[in-house]
Amino acid sequence: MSLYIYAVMDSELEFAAPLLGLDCSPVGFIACGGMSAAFSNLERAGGRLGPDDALVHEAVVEKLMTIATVLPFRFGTLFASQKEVLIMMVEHVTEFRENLARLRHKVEFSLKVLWPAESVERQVVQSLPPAKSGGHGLSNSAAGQYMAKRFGAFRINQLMETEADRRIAEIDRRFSRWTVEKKLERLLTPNLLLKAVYLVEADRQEEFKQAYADMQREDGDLRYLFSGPWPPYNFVRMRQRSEPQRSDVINKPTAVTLL
Amino acid sequence: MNRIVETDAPEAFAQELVQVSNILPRRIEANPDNVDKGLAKLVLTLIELIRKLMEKQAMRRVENRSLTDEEIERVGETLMKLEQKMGELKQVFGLKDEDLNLHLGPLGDLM
Repeated sequence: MSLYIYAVMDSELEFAAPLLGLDCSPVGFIACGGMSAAFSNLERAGGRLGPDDALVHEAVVEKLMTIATVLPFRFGTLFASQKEVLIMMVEHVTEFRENLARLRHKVEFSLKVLWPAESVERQVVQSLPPAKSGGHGLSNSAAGQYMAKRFGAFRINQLMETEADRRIAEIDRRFSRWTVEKKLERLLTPNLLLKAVYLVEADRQEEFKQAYADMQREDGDLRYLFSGPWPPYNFVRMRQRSEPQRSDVINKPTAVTLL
Repeated sequence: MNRIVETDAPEAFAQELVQVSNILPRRIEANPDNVDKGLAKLVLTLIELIRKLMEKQAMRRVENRSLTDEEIERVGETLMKLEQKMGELKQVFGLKDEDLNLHLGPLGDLM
């Protein structure tokens, strides 16, 4: 049997109503230094987890958020015993406190944006001046022709990146007023212009949603996927340790199978 | 929580997000039957990464005109031959371009 961990929270309060976790096992709490870790027992062979389990994990974390500030754990985090959970909490107590203070009354929103990469590239190509033979010292030899071809692709790529940056800045500007922290990733695929997560004060979330609604109403060639509020999964900061320590269970959960 | 999940292009996003999740292999496929191919894939991916970085640096120098004509010629020939050699090795191990892809964070995709 393993202990499945959902979150660490800034309270030793137990949940008033019964809360059920994976496999309908009751969620229990391990208290430590004014905080507690929410867990349930998991008795599956190999600890294999699936998409439905991810939804249960999320539902439990959200319930916990109604009574405390939570640091959601990565889906699939297992410990061998309550003693290991306690050791982990003692080792990370300062980091947990820092994170709980930073994330108190905050929620996360996610925004993904698609752009029509092919048509943007066509526009970029059309905007390029015609290449001159021998320009940039590129000769007509096989090697020179190869370099000319690669240089053309390099220039197009540069201009695409500039255009991506311009559009991302325009999108991000709309949300910056309501944002405490953010993480932006550019062009993870040619069409995925932006993958962003924003940390927002819980009492400013309506303004944040409105900023999205205003942007989404405008005509344009961008497509959006917007969701939230979520528990602040992407904003928990844990320091990397230089030396392995006795209980490295956060990074090496036992018998975990991720989705 | 009063959550919203909203999109005007669900299928397009599903397609892109599958691509994102496939950027890194979930595991290195190595077993007694394919250990050569598994290792070749790993090594060729690293060589391709280095080749791409060299090419990017060369293009920057072409752009800044900090290479002489002779240097451009020599670099071009080297990069061209490296690409040809990579093509041959990919063929030997039955690998395609997309097999050697890696997402390199701010550097973008390798391929």
